[in-house]
Amino acid sequence: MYSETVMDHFKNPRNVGEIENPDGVGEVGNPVCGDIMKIFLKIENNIVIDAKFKTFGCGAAIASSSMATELVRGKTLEDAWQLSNKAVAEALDGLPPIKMHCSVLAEEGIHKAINDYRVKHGLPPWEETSSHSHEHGEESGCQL
Amino acid sequence: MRDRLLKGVLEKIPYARLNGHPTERLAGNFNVSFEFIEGESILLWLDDEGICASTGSACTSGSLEPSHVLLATGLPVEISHGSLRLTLGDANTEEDVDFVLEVLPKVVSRLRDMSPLYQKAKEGGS
Repeated sequence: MYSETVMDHFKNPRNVGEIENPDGVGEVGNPVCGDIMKIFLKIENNIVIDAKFKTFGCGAAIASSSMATELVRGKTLEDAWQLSNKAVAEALDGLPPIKMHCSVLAEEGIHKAINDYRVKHGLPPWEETSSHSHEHGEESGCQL
Repeated sequence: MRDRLLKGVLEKIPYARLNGHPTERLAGNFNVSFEFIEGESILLWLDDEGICASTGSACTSGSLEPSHVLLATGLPVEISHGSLRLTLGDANTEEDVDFVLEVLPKVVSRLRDMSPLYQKAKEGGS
């Protein structure tokens, strides 16, 4: 069902845990839907110097969190914002169609953490340009 | 043998609950829920250890819906996502029970360590 890369990131997740005094935090998902991701970012000079996560969810949700935090580390905030759910899924060598919403959650979690940082610094939050923001519930069949 | 497995699971793992009736059920089977974690991730780890189980829960074979049966018993949706069904057959041994009792608590604990819900419950003092 899952690629070897997904299983590797599920069984040996990178960046699990929390950052003390994070510069940005984003929590997305819902326990009723069966997945919650919490993303922590440490940001210096506009660069993501550390990213960690805590996730409640299936194997794909854990692997997506692990991969997304790996991909944004070392990136500028602008580049980190550009990380798409597709890029996360591709880096994992693909996700089953019904699990694509897990990669969407990862993208949204990163976005929320970045905007948390921006708002804390008196900057206007960036707007979601992708059409993903409302797909999660539909894709997972989770009606809230 | 089933009763020893069930008793061991409930004793060794906190925030675990039996779904359904303790005795009025099939001889080799039980269904438990573990709070703060999700069923499919439990299955993936058990499968890795050679333990075959099922989750009447999220992420089973194409469906992401929690079990309608568990929901009908009044189990909250978020907890039904963390349910696991273990069934023993006549080929299973006492050693198999010991093995599950050794592996399952570790799996649950590993997944809870990365769960934001477990962290909140601990902070809440419960």
